[in-house]
Amino acid sequence: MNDLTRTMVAGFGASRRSLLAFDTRPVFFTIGALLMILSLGMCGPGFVDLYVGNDGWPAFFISGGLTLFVGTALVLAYRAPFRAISIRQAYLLTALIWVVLTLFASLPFLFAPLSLSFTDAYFEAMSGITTTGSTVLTGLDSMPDGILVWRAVLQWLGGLGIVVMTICILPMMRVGGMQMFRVEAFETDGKMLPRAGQLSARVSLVLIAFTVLLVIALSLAGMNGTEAVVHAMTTIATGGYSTSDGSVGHFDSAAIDLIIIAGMTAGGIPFLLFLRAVHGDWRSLMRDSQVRAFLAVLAVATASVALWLVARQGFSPLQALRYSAFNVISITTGTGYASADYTQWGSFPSGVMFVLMFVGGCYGSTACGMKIFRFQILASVSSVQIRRLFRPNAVIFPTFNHRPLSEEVANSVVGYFFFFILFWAGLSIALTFDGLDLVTALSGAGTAMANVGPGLGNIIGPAGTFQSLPDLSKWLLVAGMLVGRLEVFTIFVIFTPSFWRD
Amino acid sequence: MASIQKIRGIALAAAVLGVAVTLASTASAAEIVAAPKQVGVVDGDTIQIDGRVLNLVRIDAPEIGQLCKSGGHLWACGMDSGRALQKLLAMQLDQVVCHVSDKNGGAMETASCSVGGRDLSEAMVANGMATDAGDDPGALKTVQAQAKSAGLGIWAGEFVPPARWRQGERLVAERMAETTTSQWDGFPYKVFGVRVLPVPRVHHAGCVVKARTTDDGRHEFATPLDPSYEVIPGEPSFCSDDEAERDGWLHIGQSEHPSTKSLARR
Repeated sequence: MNDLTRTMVAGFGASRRSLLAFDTRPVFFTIGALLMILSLGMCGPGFVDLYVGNDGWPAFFISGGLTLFVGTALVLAYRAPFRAISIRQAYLLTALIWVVLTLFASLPFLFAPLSLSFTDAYFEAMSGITTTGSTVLTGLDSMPDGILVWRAVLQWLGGLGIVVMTICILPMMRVGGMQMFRVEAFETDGKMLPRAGQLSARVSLVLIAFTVLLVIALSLAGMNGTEAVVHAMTTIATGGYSTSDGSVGHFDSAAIDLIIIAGMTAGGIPFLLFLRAVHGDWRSLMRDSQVRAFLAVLAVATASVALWLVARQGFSPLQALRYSAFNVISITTGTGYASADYTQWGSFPSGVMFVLMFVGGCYGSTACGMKIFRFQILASVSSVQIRRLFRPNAVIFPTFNHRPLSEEVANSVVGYFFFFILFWAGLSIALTFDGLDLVTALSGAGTAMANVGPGLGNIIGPAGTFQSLPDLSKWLLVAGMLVGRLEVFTIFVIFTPSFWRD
Repeated sequence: MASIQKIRGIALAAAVLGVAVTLASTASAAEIVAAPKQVGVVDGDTIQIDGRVLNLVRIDAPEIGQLCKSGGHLWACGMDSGRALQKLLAMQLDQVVCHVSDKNGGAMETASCSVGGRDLSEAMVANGMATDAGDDPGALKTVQAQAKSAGLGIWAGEFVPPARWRQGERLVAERMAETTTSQWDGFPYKVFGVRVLPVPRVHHAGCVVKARTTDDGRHEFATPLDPSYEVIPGEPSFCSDDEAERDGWLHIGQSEHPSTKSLARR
């Protein structure tokens, strides 16, 4: 980095420091370090394109070079001795990471011979990194391998990022009831300790192990190399980017459906529990009330949609179970694959899918949505309130996982629901303002905030495409994806004026 | 006398039977049913089933090499329209049902197609990937009005109506893009002779329909949506499938119809 650039970057940091109530150097330093990692991620698809002989390979190396340059500049300019970050720094960092990384992640889409606009490139990158899976690309079957792999890498890194974030950062930030998942001896005096790095490394190993297992299984089931790698990465990340316009339905294979069903379900279960299971503690995986509730929701929804398919659509029982399980689990976990156009199955499956997209997976998984534990807490709080109506003097407390809940956690969860629904309603209205019909607007806002992928209706349903949407709608959905992925509060907090003051 | 009446009766019965058989065969020929995976997409308003090329009734989609403009950005609306139709079909479990309404004078037929109760023409107009080409006021007009007011697909910006595009009209920017031949051409900045950033090229812009004459003298054409497009020999010769068809060429894999056999073999 030359002196001029360094002076400019350092000068910007200094001026920000003087205006703000807190030191932003660790924030920009961390973003710089993550950009450097992202630039390495860009080289993989570049080498794939080179190997296959596609002419799109320079796009990845040019993007990687630019990203590496900016990342290095930030690291050098903002390096400072710090061992922990404060809560405000954590909020700013969390919000900025996804916005800035997405910006650089969109470069390969811009430079590749896809003729994408900046809006489309940013949408595709945000949808990837937040593991949403809504796509503006069509013609995936004839797409260069590099682009397909880059989309998968984005979702995989996004999935890893969200697991690390929910384990290490969000509990400290006390976002939407997540404070109860605080790992003991992990936080002292509101500061995060380097143990976060240690835990992240172990969780990454779990993610890598699942990915390798899925690659092997999908290859054995008949996928070629690129297809197996892409689907393995986007399955465990519950992302949903596929190598075909027909998504997983393109393969029309019961074995592939089953493998992906297992992968998506694993992606919706807390990764810390897998880590414990590896250390021999299988019981905590089986006993966890969140996991049980998650599996129960999947079972009930699958069975009810399958019954409908047999009774009303003439499916055979096995066929109904296969298609129902795949699509129900895909939507609930927020993966967003489809093995069929379920909007053609009638009103009931569409209704079920619409509700399921909000449910999501467990805390600490790659899955999206409002998360099972929040529904459990809300159900417990509501049940206590109902019982108190006819037994006013009874001493009853809401519980979660057989433990009493603190009032702070319960309030936090109620607040989360309020803000989620408020933002969803606002986003839906904004989309209708942009001219979209009600089904597209409501399901589009929902699928973006719950990071699912497809919506409902002709335009953005599983057989439709987000490409058709006007630019303003795409930016609104980008905002929805970000707000949903960062648990709503994280974004709202940094827009609070007092956050920036002493 | 009685034998004459008997002969008349038999003749009448035979005539009635003949008419019935003719009607029945006409009805079966007018309806085509196929699995979605067996349906090939030629462009955004044309499909091929079992060797028959069918124009989707009442719609006109951007031609395969056509570019549209949205927010100052050119995009391959012709290709994307065809791909949207491919995606629509790729997700279906139900059979595609087409009712052939008429022949437009060439090898292509016009058909009303649906899958699982969803009309393909309507679906394409609904997401702004095709225009309503019919004159009659109907549901499609309303669907197009909704797509237009929402700025979906081609309605997000400027485009030349497909009929005028086939006659040679182009957007100014589109004509410039058609002349760009390489992804790396046209970039003005070089560092030590190396281009630093690529200029995104719009693939398959302009007249991209390939034509070739096979060893047995069959004249056929292919669009970039055909899986074999990149590997078959032949140069881009036509601007649209309609132009190729009008000139007597058959789509790759299309059965030769008696009425077009002489044209195809000339």
